[in-house]
Amino acid sequence: MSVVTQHALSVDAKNLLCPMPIIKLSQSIQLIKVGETLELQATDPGSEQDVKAWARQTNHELVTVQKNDGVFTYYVRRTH
Amino acid sequence: MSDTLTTNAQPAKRRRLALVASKGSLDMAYPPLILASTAVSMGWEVGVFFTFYGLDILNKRKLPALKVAPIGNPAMPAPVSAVPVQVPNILGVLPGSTALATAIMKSWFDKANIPPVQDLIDVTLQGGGKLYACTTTMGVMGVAPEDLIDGVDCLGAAAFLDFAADADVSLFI
Repeated sequence: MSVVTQHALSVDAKNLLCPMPIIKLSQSIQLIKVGETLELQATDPGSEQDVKAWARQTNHELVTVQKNDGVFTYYVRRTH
Repeated sequence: MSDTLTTNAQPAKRRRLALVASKGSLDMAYPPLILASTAVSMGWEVGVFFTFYGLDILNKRKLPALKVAPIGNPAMPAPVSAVPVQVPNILGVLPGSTALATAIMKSWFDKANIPPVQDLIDVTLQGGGKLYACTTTMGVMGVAPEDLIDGVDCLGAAAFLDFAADADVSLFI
C-alpha cells in the first residue's frame, strides 16, 4: 500500500553520505511544481532523521517514508 | 538564492548559521563546509569566516592541495583497514608520510562518494551562502584578494560579529 502512486521526479541518492542526499533533495525540489511530489532514494541511515529535519526546516511535506532492504524511499511534496 | 516572494511559506525570519573555520587540513575542511552546504539546502542564511589556517581553504593555489598529517594525530586510522596495524606516530616525521596520509584519506573519501571540498564550496555559494576571508589573516600570511577563489568576501572581525550576532547557530571549528 502506498499513499503516493505518482511522482513527478525520481532522485537517486543511494550510496551517498551526508550532506549529499539533502543537497540533492534541496536541488531537486526546485525542479518540480508546487503540489507535485518527488521520490528520493537513499541508503545513508542518517538520511531518515535528516530528511525529516529538512522538511521541518523548509516547510515542504514529507508524505511518507518506506524502508526496504537498507534503502529508504522518501516521498516529498513541494508546498511552496 | 530564492527571495522572500518565492519562500513566502517559510517563517518570516530565516535561520542563520555563523561558522568560524580555523583549520586548513584536508580533514578539517569538511566539517564547516558540510554544515554550510546543508544549511543553505535547508534555506538558511550562512556565513563562514575563514581565519588563520582555515584561510587556506579559500586559497586558489592551496585548496586543491589540502593535506592531512599523521604526526601528532593519534586518531589517524591504520592505512589499510584490513590490516589493523597502527603506524607508530613518530614515523610521521619521515619524508613523504604527509603525502601518503593525504593520498590514503582521499582514497577513503572517493570510496565513500564524498565530494571534493570544492564541490561543497560551490553548493554553499550557489545557495547564497557567504564565505568570508579574514582580512587580518590575509595581512599576516601575505594573501592578496586575487589569491582567493571567486565569490569570497573579505571581512574583519567586527563585521563578522555583526553578522553572527543574529545567528541561530554559531560554531567555532
